[in-house]
Amino acid sequence: MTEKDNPLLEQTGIDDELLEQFFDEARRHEVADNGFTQQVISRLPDRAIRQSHWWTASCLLLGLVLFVVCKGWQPVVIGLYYMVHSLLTEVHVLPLLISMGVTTCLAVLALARRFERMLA
Amino acid sequence: MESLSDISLVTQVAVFRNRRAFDQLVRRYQSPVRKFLLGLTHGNEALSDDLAQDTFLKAYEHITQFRCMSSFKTWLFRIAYRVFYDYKRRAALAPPSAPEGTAVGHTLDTIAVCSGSVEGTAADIHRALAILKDEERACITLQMVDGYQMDEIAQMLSMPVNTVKSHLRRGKEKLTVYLKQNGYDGKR
Repeated sequence: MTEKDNPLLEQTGIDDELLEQFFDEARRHEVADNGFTQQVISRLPDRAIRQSHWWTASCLLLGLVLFVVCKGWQPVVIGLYYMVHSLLTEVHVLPLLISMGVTTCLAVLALARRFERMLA
Repeated sequence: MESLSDISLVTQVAVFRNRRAFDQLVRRYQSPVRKFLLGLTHGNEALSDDLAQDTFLKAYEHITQFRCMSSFKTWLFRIAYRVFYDYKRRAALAPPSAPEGTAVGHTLDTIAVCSGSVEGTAADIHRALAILKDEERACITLQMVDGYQMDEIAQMLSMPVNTVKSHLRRGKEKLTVYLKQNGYDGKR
């Protein structure tokens, strides 16, 4: 129940409309970052970074071990074989060139955007 | 990256200590957290920024304790209030609300300069909030500025809902009287 609906609170002299109006600007106001995020990130503890590197290395090692133990190269080799085979026998040159062209354009655009963001 | 939800960003920070993910979270929530702390510190920008930084650092250190029972923002606000509370206790400062609306001059000037088009309003708001007790100010800011419900405020400030209700009522009464006395109702 809002205080407007509550006659007991109205008797106490709360002017909801006035308060709403008064805080309206504050509700819409946003505090600009002005390097605040950068300061927070630069103060993050190093222990966490070391922990992060340790986790990454452990996961990588585990992945490699599983790859070897489960003979992960077999599906990769088979997949590559079929890919090369189909490229040589089934794919027409023109659509292949068109799709390569489009992919290259998209990659160039993505790189340009990344550079733009880095410079900004 | 920007479209990622809070949960996936938090997961990346918790599991891989991904700084980029945390950077996104800080960028997303720096404004509400700093605004909340500005309200609590009478618009003292330097102090509120220090407290906001501590808030985010604590969030980073204890991010594995975030249980998704509430939103990440709610969890951050809870930390922010604790950081403010600890600061007050540690520094053993005289309560800012003690002077009842005075002695906030230079901090209000700072906020007025920094907040651009809303400079006058920001100063007015901090001056008005200065007449309240800390708990009242926290409750009023969370409800009137950030739009939280009473149960969420109770969760953030670790208070019973009825206590929050009382703080809100008293705070609103004081503010209504203050605003009317100072002609904000257009009758002066």
